[in-house]
Amino acid sequence: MEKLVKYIAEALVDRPEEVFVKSIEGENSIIIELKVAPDDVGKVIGKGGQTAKAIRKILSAAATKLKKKSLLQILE
Amino acid sequence: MKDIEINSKSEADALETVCRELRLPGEAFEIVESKPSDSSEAGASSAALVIKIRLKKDVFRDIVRDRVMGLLKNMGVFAEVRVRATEDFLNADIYTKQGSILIGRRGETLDALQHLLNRMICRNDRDMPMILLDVEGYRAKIQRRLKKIALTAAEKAQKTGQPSKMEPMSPHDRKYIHKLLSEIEGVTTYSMGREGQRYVVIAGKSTPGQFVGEDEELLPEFLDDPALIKRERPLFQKKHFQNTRTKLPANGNDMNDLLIQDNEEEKSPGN
Repeated sequence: MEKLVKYIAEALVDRPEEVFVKSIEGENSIIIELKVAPDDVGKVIGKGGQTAKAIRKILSAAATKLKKKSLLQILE
Repeated sequence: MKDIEINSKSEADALETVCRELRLPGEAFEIVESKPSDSSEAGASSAALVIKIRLKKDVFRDIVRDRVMGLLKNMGVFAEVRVRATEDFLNADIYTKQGSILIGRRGETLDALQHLLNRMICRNDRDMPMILLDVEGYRAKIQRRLKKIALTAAEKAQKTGQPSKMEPMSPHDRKYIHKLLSEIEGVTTYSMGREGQRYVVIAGKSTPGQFVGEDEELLPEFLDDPALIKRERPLFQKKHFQNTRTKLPANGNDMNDLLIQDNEEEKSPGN
């Protein structure tokens, strides 16, 4: 899961070397924190939050396979 | 796919700029044309050359395939991906046994994947072709269903002149319906609603009183085909109704009834 977010984020941003992903895994859920360069936050969120929504959707699809709930937090 | 035109000092410079901008490797592009810039037009700028750069389709296809494979691998889905280039789009078809995960409820996950893929590869460049993602022929299936619904509605509009609203859908699907029904006589289509919730209305041509009783605010934004829709603007018909009413005061009540009936019919066009 962490790798998935990292893969997506690195492809979206201008500065892939500044992408940091941290995940906290519980029994039934997984929380993923994503941090990117300040200038790249907009690219990860997208117009009207569309890109962030898409990332969350894909995460939840991948999490269903593991029978878990996922939560993505984009840190400023 | 349009060529990219760029002002630069040298061909290498231009190529580097484009590669950096689009974050694609240099071998994905070829230089089609390079000529000295028109100095009178460019003014005192430092650019000496106007260079036309074209994206190589086959290289681009491989890049797209790698991206899709990478995404799916990270999701833990095993799949085969085939990419083919059509005139305006790049179709990436995924074949997998785990299709349901990738499609999601009403294709939401598939739409999300497609959105991300377009952002990842094309960024927000309008000159780049759009990538259309499909899993196990899902989109084709939905399109067939859409076609059936649209044709039924068109038939109804042809016979009764009654407009029907369709479900809100993506610009791509709306365009498909407009194009499909543009060939059918006696039927007109237009899009209404706010961004994100825009839907197609299928109506008969020259339907009287189409919008009577509709809120001015709810009138279509005429974004899809202003030329076509303008003719359908019904304001004069509204006036027409009012005029008849004032002209025939004795029958005023009858006309009122008629008007209300009309409105009720319009409010349930979906049935």
